[in-house]
Amino acid sequence: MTQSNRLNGGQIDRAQLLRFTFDGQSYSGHAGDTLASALLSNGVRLMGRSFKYHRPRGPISAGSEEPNALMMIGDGARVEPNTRATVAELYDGLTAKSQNAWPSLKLDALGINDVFSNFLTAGFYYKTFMWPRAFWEKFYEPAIRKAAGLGRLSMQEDPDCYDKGFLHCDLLVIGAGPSGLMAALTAARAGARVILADEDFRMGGRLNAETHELGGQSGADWATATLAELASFDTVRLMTRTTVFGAYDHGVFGAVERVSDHLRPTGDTRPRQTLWRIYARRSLLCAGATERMVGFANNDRPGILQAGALRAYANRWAVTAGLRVTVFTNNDDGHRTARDLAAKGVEIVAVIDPRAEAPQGDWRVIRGQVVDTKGRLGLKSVTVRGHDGRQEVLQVEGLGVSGGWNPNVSLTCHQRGRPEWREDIAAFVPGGTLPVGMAVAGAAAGDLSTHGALRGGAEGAVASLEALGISAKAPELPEAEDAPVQQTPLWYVGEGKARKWIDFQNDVTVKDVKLAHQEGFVSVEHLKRYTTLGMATDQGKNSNLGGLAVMAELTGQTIAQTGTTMFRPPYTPVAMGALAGRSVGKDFKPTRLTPSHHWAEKQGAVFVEVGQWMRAQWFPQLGETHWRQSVDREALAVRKSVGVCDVTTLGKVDVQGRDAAEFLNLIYANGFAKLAVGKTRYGLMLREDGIAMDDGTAARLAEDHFVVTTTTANAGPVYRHMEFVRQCLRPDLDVQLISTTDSWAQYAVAGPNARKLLQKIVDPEFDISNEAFPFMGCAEITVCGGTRARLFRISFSGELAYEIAVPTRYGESLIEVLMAAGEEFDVTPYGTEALGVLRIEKGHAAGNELNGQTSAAHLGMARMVSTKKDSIGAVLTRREELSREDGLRLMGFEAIDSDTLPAGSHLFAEGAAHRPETDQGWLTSACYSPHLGKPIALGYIKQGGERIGEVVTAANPVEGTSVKARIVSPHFIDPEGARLRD
Amino acid sequence: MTEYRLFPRTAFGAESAHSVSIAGVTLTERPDVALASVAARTGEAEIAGTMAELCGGPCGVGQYKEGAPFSTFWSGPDQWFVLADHAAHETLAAELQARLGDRASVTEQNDGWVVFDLTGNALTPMLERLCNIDLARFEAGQAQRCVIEHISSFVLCRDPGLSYRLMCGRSFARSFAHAVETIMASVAAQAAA
Repeated sequence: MTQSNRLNGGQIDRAQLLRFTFDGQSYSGHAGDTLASALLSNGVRLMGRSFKYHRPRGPISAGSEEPNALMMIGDGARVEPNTRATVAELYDGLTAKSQNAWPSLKLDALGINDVFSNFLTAGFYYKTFMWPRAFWEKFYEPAIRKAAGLGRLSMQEDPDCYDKGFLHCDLLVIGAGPSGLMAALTAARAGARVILADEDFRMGGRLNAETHELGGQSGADWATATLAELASFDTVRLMTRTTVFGAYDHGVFGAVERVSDHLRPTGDTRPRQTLWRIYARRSLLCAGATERMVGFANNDRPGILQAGALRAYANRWAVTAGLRVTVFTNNDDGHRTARDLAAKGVEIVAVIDPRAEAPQGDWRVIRGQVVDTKGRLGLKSVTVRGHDGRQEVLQVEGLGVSGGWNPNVSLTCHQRGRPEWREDIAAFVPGGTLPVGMAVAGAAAGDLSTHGALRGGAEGAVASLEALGISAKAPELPEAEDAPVQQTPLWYVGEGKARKWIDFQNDVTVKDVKLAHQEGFVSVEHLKRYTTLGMATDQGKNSNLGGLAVMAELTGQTIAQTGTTMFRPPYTPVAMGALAGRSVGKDFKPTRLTPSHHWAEKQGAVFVEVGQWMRAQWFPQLGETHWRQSVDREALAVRKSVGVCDVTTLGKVDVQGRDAAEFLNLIYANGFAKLAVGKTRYGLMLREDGIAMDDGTAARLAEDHFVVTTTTANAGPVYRHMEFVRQCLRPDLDVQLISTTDSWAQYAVAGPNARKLLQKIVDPEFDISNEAFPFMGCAEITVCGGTRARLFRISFSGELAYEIAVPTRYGESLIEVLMAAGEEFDVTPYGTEALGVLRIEKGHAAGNELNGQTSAAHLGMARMVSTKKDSIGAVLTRREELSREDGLRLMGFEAIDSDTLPAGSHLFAEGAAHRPETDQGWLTSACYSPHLGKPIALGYIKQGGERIGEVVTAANPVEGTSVKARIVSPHFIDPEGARLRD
Repeated sequence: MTEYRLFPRTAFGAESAHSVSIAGVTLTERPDVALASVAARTGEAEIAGTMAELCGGPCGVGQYKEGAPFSTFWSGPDQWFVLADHAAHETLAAELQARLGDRASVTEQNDGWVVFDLTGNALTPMLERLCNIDLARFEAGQAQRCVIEHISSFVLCRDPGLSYRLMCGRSFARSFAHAVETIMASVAAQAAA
């Protein structure tokens, strides 16, 4: 197809012919085209079907506010729905498809909805689909969602990648029209660090769309020259294709840069988009204005555009929506469209202006209003009612509509600022409290002339920089159009029974607003929810004011009294991929590797995520087909001889200072002041409210030096808590903290042969015999001929056990050495599953037991909370409900006649109903004990200590299962602790 | 005498340093750097003077001071990290403790962190995609704690735009390097376009 509607001139590169397809049909355009301008040049006006009634629609705008020309662009997994053709940059090979139409755009079956529009008014689904009630979720809602709607996702993984980044500047200028360019120039010349961001791929804003001269040259040329000067400053960053979509706290802005959306996908490592977080000391919003349509009968046909958009297509892209055009305007700006299009050779059939003072031109001016239009798939004629009552039909293909301009105030409202109504231009302008550091200039501030925009930009920059102590001088302004601007409201034309569209995107009409009013939805926020006016991708940029103006009229209030709905980020749609950045799939979060990770990989270990850590869960051996086989073998090997487990992940906090012991006395419930050097002690840490927070050990390496260990999961929170206590609660104490978790590779060496194994690697000058190095001892030693190490005689498994630590760089080597030296003892590496089995058998609490609900008494550790000193949580853990004798107790449970005892089961007295009021506790941790040959568990149960031997029911009321279990001591293994001390 | 010996490995489980170059930018692991943290004990803030003597000059808030044999950077009020050659100063913490006595708490950090050098032409586009630092004001001899791809890190500036030292927890080494190298490739591809 030829570009039949292409005019002369424009800012396109005619030497570059770009081919593309729309709904399978091939077309061509030029570099510099948007998809919409290219389609219009090919005579294509029909670009989509509306949301609800499937009305045929074409673009009404030439910018990001577009509600109609939404398409699916791209192929395969890259297809992106709801892309606005008016901002999609054309590239060779682009493929676009219409959406919300079947079987085709021209013959859309659901166009039938339009016939039944009387039944599909605002809120129709709330009224219609009420019975039977169960049908709503199962049938009605899915059916409605399928029929109504926008484009469809590919349902495939996004093949593109997205970067994110951070930028800093003195002044962020949002929008590169005349005010933005002048502001950036003013600030740049003053030496300020400037970011100038614009959503368009060509900076200049309306200067590219207008024929006004600036200082004797065209607006576009002036913009080009200004940009060239700006580019010469290394303190200026020009960001095209970058939408500043949100104004956040403290002068932080969110922006998306479309890095390669305008390029044919090549599959290289370039990101598709970059999400920038911009830290601006000051910002100047130069976002321009959006032209408003007028509500008249059938005002939504393809070929009816904003008058300014029609002009932009002609001047910037050398395209017209039709060769015979008329304009309907209530302000002088609309007449420029007629002038500019006529200059390009387009026939201006008439300009329709209801005002008595309408300017005259080289074309017919009718004082009147448009009252109807015709043309099913594209505009064919408009019906005009003259001031004198005469009706006339004009045969046209294009209609430009101008009801005046609305300043783009959205970003000024993101921190809950409310715009103010300005009567002289009948529009909202920025008002109230703006986001910190923000000022507004140009059309966005209600300065609707070119001169006003230039002056506002320069003055805005000077004032913004002055607040930063940077002295700037406004440059001499180029001579520019400075016509006085007055806008009188014309929200809709009363005549005509056909629907008068206010919100094109959501198919909301003047009548729908009246219906909402009639049914009591009077507040603008209710109006929005009831009619969906102002929702979806255009966020009411075109419709908001029209809707609330009609509502104001109905309620008899002023528009100022009626107010607007809240503007929220994002200003235009942002791809979820851009927000996710690189944090997707296996890179969703960083992972931490243990010192033995590579060794464990070589052993074929199965890994489990524990917080950020990857830990070996078990080490399958040849012939083992089920994880239980591996875990049972590992646990038994520890009890029988010796096993080794990487416990580096446990948090390690170095605590030093003259008051280190007093500090530990404060954070632990039990006493630490008298712990001897060379000794380790188990510690229970409580929250301020008396609930158990974490447990671990503290080893005293010197009078003023401890190493505290935490559970893996709580390493961060405990360190944070300790720092809070140090800095905020007891800054008087001399204590210094630093994490050393990563510094030391630490292994548990457990089992009856643990000492024999260690004696083979510990340097002989260190005596680790039971007498010289008894249970709970700690020492700084050397191993393997002089490598520095720390040895702790502590046990999680209940066996004779040690933890040995070496500088992490020797960690992998240490496990190799332990395996080699332990060969004669059949040393067995064990993972977190066996570790869990061993500690459950021993009755040691872990994360499952420290779940934020349990006190020291519940854990059976009430007596550990020292009464001889103050410690965090000590007072509140003695509260009656937390410390009562007949309260919850941590107990052991053995399955009776069952091969499972599921953790999470709730406990009930035998024969009792399984109801919340009869619930007596729950199982926290469970495993199969290879040592005992049956499933066992730990759990909390009321009056547990007095119920040993009792049989209870462990039930899962959700799934309706239950098993019997006997209450036993939580210490299934060696309750006297003889093995530890052996 | 035990017959066994331990051998060091890098944070990547290798025998030699991890190093990746893409389009003139190089990220190199520095396992040869020894580290220790120093915190003044209560009332001993004047150890800043001893630290200055040790490290060839004062190291104030947000500063990084390179010297021989010790370099240092500020890590908090009256707190510093000290860097040295690992081969010569594996027991750096003990050396510093001997110099500072009981006026400071010194902790070995040799293997708590992995140190990388990032060098190349025009590194700003890379770093602005990695960390929230105002790079135009980040000069040689400055240090900044920040988050890189959800990982707590230190960034030390040696030569703006050309040479930086990056540090993160040793266990994060693989994820950290992957994040940096991904951005190296991304920036290179964007520059080539």
